[in-house]
Amino acid sequence: MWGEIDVRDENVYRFSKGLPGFDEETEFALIPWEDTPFIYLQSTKEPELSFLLVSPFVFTPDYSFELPEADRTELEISEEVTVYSIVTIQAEVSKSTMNLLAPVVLNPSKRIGKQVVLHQSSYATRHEIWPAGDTNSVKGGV
Amino acid sequence: MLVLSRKKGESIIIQDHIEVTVLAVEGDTVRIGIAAPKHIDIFRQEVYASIQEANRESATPLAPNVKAFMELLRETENKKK
Repeated sequence: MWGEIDVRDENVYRFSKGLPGFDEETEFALIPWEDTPFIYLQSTKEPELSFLLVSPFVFTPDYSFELPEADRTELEISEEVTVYSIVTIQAEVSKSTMNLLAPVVLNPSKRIGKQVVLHQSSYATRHEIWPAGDTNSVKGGV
Repeated sequence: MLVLSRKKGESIIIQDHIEVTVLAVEGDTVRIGIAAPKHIDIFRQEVYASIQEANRESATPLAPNVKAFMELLRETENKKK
């Protein structure tokens, strides 16, 4: 979707298990969407495959979860860790959602990533970015 | 599909390292214990399926949708100011 772009190595992450539904995609580049908390996750192998990610804390400041020990080991996390949520742009844009149940967890120093599925969590795969009402007056033209 | 009958407390071994044990049976609910190496991911099927589906829906957003999304984002940001 970008034509051809150069991505610095430090923005290329290995996802050894792929993503659920996209098991074959094991390498992605992070492409920031400037001046926003959003970032694109672009497959390095499949030009037509990308995801829009957002830092979930921007819209849900109290979002929290404990990263299971096994995932921490797999991601070789010692200190640095970055968390994103995958955005689903819905037909009605103001009802767009982000996946809080399965965050994308990155280890920036080792450049490995994984979409972690939280167990025993009440977070949803489709959590509204702008909870009902937040954008109403905007649609009216302000 | 391989079908095996097991009683409470009995288990099944898969590939040396994965052990699935029937812990309890209450009505139509079966409690299962799974011992597996750390690198093996285990999910409830319906949870995994819902994440696959959400990922497929999220994949490669169309340019006009991204544009509409960006506009809405800008409007809500302005509103906050």
